[in-house]
Amino acid sequence: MKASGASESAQPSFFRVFASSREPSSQGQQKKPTRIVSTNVCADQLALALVERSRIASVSRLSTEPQISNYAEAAKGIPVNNARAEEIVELKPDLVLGDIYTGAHANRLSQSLGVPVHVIGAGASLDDVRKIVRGVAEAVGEPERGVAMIAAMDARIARAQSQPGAEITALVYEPNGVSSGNGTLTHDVLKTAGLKNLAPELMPGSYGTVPLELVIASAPRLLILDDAYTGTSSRAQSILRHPAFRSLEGKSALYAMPSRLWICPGPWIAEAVEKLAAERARLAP
Amino acid sequence: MLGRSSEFGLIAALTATTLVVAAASLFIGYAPLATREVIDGLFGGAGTAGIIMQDIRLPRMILGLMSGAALGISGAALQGLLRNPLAEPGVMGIAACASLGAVIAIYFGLSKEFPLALPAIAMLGALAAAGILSAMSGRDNGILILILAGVALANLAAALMALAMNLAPNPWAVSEIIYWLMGSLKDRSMEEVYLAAPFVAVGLALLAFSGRALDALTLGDEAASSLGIKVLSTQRLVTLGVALAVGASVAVTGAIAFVGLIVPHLCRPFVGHMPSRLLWPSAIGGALLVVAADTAVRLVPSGPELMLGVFTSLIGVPFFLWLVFKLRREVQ
Repeated sequence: MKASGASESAQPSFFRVFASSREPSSQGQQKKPTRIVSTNVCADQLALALVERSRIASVSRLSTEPQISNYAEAAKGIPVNNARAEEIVELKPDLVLGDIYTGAHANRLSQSLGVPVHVIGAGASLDDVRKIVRGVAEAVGEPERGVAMIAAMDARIARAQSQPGAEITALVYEPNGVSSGNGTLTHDVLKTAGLKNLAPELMPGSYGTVPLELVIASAPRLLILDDAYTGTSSRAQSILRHPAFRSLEGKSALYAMPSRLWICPGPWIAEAVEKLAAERARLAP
Repeated sequence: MLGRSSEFGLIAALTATTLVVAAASLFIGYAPLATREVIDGLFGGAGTAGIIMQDIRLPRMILGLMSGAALGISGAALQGLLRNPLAEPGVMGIAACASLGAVIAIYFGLSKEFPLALPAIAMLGALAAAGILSAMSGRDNGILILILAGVALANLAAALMALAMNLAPNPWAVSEIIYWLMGSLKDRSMEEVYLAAPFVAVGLALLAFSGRALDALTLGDEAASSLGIKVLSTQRLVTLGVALAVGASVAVTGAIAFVGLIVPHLCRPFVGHMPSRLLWPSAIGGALLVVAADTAVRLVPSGPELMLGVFTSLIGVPFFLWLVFKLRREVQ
């Protein structure tokens, strides 16, 4: 479990920081919740992936943001909430899915009213992702769907890994040089896709900034931009507008990863692995 | 009384120190470059060392010198104009309005579409602040009115920046705004130097030109008027000079606090209390302080690089408090 501070929540890696997956709620196994309220965009997506839409009473405001949510289309039309305690209670949920930060007050209040609350973490590894998926599946009363979802995800990952080609170096580069090192889901995704993440060598800690000098000097074979602004095409250019990046021409390839594929723990992580593994297969010597 | 020679002595000493520190700053960075590589890289060497020296370390040093000079001379001029030792560009709301301009550019995504929109709008913010201040300083030019208007502008800008973060469409926009507001010279390029340099240069010239009028103002508005100094136009000259110099440097570096406050106070014991004699030493001292601080943040083993604006605030706030205590003792 990774400790997290308020300062980290300011970074783009925001959602990946939450880190405590509580035990599956102790509600009865028979009665499946039918008024699920989710206050976190990661929980929103898992709920939408695991249960019938009709059982979801509300999702978070960010759930319809296509940059963050893989279920932005599916979430449209479901009432949105802002994780405020009063509005959550007003929705009369029989299950609240949340995280430890944004909806903390709503979670406490719901719990005191006897509504089961399931808190998800961000996940610092693929193993955490499996645990989180399993936990939510059990909380919503669909454990076998969870198991199937994890199996499908693992099958995709295994297929991606089976592609030929040697390991290549890679670095995630977000605005202001923010990157992800050891103990992050991003790092695990890179490793699983056969990439050697350079961030641990270039900066201390799990999240931090890599000085441009070191990006230039280390010349990663694959420079991965976290593309939070898919659709606005000039995004990549503005991150890389420093003239020093010119020197990477011919040495480094660029890949813009849609943020939604790895900002939240969930089966969509498999797609992130596939995309990076394909880049590796293309670039490997 | 301290004479002209002490002013020139100070300028010479500061210039020499600044040159040494600036040169040393080129040798300090993250990529492990040998002395030889640094020098070759700086003078036309190709390859990685050349890129690092010419595109990263050199612009960083130049921006440090430039923004430091702008902040230092602006602080000295404002302290002279307002006859208030606590005056500095931050107090006048000019730096805050420049920051607001930058935040607007980030918030609406303009800086994504046109990277130069950020510094351009930041400068517009500084100029707008200067315009408002000039308009406020009407005919009965009260210094107090000017300070109060500045404080109001600074708070308005801070409130609007908080609003932008409050309503930001996604966490990435918030994080970019916060990074920017912390102030840094990290990973800047020559593009930023070329953008800011003309405005800083004009600003510096206007402020240097105001020296004689500022000296006269130390005698009071009426006495200055009787000496043929136009008080109102001096106010406008200084305000415009500060807006150009500080606005342009804030536009490319973010908010680097307290330099404008500290430097004139450090120089004053050497040159006495004539504002005109303080201007150039403060400009050079500001350049020295910022380049030294920016070199220090690269040496502090803090994990993530300490942001320059955070570092200068950490030094500046205790200094500010000390200044207030000293003033209190003098008053009693």
